[in-house]
Amino acid sequence: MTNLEELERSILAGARQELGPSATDRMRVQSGLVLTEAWWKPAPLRRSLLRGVARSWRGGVAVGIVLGALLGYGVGQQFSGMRSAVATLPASESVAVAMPVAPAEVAPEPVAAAPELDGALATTGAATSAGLPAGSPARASEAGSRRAVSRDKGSTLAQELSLLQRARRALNRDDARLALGIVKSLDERFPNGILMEERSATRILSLCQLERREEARDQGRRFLAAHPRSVYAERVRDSCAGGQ
Amino acid sequence: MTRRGVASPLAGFLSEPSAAQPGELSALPDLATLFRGHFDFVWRVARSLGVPSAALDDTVQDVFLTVHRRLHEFEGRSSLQTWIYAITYRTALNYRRRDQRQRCEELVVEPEADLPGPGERLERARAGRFVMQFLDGVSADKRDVFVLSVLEELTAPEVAEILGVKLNTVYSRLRLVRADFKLALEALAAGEARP
Repeated sequence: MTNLEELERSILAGARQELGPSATDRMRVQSGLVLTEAWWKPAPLRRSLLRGVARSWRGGVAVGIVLGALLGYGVGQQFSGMRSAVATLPASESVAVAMPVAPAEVAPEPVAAAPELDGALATTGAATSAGLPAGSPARASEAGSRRAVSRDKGSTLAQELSLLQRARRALNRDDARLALGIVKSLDERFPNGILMEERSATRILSLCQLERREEARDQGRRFLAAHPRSVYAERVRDSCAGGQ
Repeated sequence: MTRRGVASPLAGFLSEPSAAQPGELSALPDLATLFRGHFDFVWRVARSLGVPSAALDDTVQDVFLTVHRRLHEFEGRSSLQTWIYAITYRTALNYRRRDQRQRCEELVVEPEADLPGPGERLERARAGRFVMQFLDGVSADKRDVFVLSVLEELTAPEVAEILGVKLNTVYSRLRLVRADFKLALEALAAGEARP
């Protein structure tokens, strides 16, 4: 190997390392992505596999049989006056469970659950299901209400996420005052929110940006005590709240 | 890891990715897994392609959000990595068009937890600066080929697919940019260039 080739090799190897991200870069970009809805979305199914199943005649026959069975069962139930039980078809349940991702997209929507029962189930939770026979209207309603509660949670989470994203964008624009205002609004609207770590980290960084160091340090101490292994811990330690 | 019964956004990041075999009925990777597996090279490619430091975070985030949004379109004709390269390239190109003022002085050295020794660190910084100076001095076409082919060591067909050009064009640009790089190295070796 000539000197020039050796120099090229060493320059390229050094450049690859130098141009790569630092731990701080990784943390910063990841923090941004964690606050997006996409981070929370389940992974999609491989489309090629689904197409493969659809193309294969065996797959087609199998899908046909399953759909036929479901349809027949559903029609039978409807004729016998048990329309609401369709939501709890054993086959449809198993489809939802077998799919590793996005069960909400696969499982059929429940057919009209009784509102008064929904309310009761929403407060009593899973304990009420123990004594109910499979396929009973009450159990169907419970399934519906569980999904409704889940949808509510999703909607609340989306709102919380959206506000956090706005706070982060404000912080990135050096508008810590607005970021802190949004965090306070989050405290009022979602006192028991899901993204508390993210909220606390945003609050601390905002306080630092506003040079309210004492408050930031106080909040930082509490944050690190509560979440020593948080993905934001390093960032908080690196900030003015880190006690430097 | 769960919080109040809801999967933490970090759960996927901390757990091992599920290795999906071809033909196996499985899900495509989620955003956390994609990020962990490909962040380093997406960052490096975006930076080498001339995305200004101030826009790097946004560019890289855009790449991952685009990859995640379009993942269901991935048909496996190329490797997932090549497909992500292509998205990175196009995203970086958009940012590059928006801001043509990419200069090597934007190479900001940030503190790292796993710092090498001072000598090695200096050599790395010099190498990085030298390559960025070189890339700033060549045309965009040559730069793209150099980054993908020489720095990232992709094959010529992969580079052709990502750039959307003919294979012979890649070979031709590669030959030219390699010659330029050799000249720059000779100048460096002769002490004419001070990286």
